[in-house]
Amino acid sequence: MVAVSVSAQSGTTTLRDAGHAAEQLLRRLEALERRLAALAEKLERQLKEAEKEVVGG
Amino acid sequence: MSAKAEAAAGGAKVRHVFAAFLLEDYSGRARVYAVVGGKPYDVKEVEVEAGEPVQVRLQVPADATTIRVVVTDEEDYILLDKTVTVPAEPGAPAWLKLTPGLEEWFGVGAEQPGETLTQPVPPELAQLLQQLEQQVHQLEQQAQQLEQQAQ
Repeated sequence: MVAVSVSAQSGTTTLRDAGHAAEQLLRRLEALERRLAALAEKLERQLKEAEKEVVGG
Repeated sequence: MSAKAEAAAGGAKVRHVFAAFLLEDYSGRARVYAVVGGKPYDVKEVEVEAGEPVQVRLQVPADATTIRVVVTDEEDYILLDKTVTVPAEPGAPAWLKLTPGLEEWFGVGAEQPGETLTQPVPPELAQLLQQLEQQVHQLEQQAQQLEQQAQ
């Protein structure tokens, strides 16, 4: 996990840091989207195989 | 009657743009003209420091697609003269970056006048980012659990 290094209290972080943090979050969400898409494909394959077994059995 | 007064008298719709520029070797008072249709439409006086970015709020006709921005010294000697296209976002303030090297100071996505990338993060934005980070982390954990269940 990449920590968001933005601290409202420190007063030392800048809008640039916030922008980088937001970009990191976006990258992580994109990676998450890919993982979930792969998972959905996998589950679909498993479902089809299960259906074949039911029909065949 | 000045072009500006004419525009006001005619009820012409105006919008504001923010001209940003940096002069490497001039310090002192400067005038910034917004020239539209060959006429000065607005003019602002600013204090310029060599090597420091300057942003100036200028009024232009709402339907202006290109404006010429002229920066002069107090003797009206031209320091900068550039014609730029106004971003077509009705109602939104438009940034006109007149010289290179401004990205360091003014963010490409900066929306508020005076907002620069070197300013501190507003507390509400920092809090929002932290909340988003927590939510993304939770989603990652949930995705991991789902992946394990699908094994």
